[in-house]
Amino acid sequence: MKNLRLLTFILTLFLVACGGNDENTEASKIQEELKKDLEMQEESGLSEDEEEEFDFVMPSALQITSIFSRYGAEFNKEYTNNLTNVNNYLSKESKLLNLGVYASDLCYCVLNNQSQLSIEFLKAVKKISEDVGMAAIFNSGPIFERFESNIGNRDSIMYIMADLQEQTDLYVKKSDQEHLAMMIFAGAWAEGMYIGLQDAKNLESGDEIVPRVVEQMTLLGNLIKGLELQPSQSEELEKFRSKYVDLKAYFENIEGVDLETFEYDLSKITDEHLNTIKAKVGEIRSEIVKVN
Amino acid sequence: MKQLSINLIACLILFLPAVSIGQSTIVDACDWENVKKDAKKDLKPYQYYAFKITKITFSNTSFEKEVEVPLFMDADYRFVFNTMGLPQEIKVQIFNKPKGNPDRKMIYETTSENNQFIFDPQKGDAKNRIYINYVVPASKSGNADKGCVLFYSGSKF
Repeated sequence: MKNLRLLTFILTLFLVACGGNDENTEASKIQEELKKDLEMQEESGLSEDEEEEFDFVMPSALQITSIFSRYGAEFNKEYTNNLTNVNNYLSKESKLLNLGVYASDLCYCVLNNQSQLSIEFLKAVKKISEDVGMAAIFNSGPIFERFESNIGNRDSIMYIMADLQEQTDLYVKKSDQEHLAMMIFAGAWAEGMYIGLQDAKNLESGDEIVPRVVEQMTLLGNLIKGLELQPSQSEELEKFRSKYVDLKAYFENIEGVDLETFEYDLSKITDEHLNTIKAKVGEIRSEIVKVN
Repeated sequence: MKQLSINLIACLILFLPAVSIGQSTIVDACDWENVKKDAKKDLKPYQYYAFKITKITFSNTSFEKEVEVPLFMDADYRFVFNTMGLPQEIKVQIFNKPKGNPDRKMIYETTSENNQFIFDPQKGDAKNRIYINYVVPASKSGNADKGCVLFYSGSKF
């Protein structure tokens, strides 16, 4: 931010000094653009450091769905997003969020040995990646060929999925677009939680799944921060963000939960809390997968 | 014409020093794309979990930069750090709690001297989160040299 101010100042002096009495329209335009950039940064409240990088890392769709898979009942395709929707998301926000959704669905299929369906979801992930300008993540190697030739070998497929995640992370870093990963994660988190809560064999206070649910809920703070740090803030993004904020507010008001220290007393998590979390996660997920 | 010449001289006086300062102070040692393969090798047999490049710009005062890493109870983790992209040494510390927390304890500490090192957090080291703290000393050269730390993490569920 300081550098940008200094640059604007130097450029202003330069233009005043070099401009003479004539209007230099091209230079004025650049100056105007720099001013606008500065104003946008000031409005967003982001420092150069904050724009450059996030001070946290986020897990992937694979980790979230892997955690819940131990507590799941039988595979149910109804929990996944409709594959035909892949062509119907129009805004960049909904495409990125649904890229995360389809990535979680793909993991859910892989973890439940749904070979054919896994390939269909991989195609959906590829399609939507291309739509948001991230086709390069599939160009790093023969992912489809590796995927198809290893179908049935869950461990190998899991490694391929982890590779795909790594390619995504490397791509967003190389192209200075880490904020995109935050959007994708927001979608993956909602779908992972949605499937985990819908698919749970038991979802009552004291059940084994409860600490896993709570663990995921503690990611909400950084997830919301990731959405707040998006360089372009649209009404649509705000609509999604407010749903996550609402869920976080509900969770941190539960007695015994402290999201500042990530401390929580599991004995205070009741059936009602779990059902409300399930319902709120369902609302977020419906909003994301909805086709306008 | 005379006015234009004065303006031109003023322009050179103001603008050229700014360019030369910029050229003499910035040294960027960060070349993470060339070292990531080495870091990834050390992840085995863990599966890729997360990747992070932390950019550092040295200044005339020391400072710290902290990165939060979420951990899940059911998993084991490996952290690999590569510090080849740093123009001078820093300290790497790992804590169980964030800055300001009264229960914060240091779990591990090393310097960037080794260029690449591994840390496998143990169950019980931390609950939910681990905090990587980069302690950056003041610039030795007096310039605003730049660099980065590459962090790769693997997990086993």
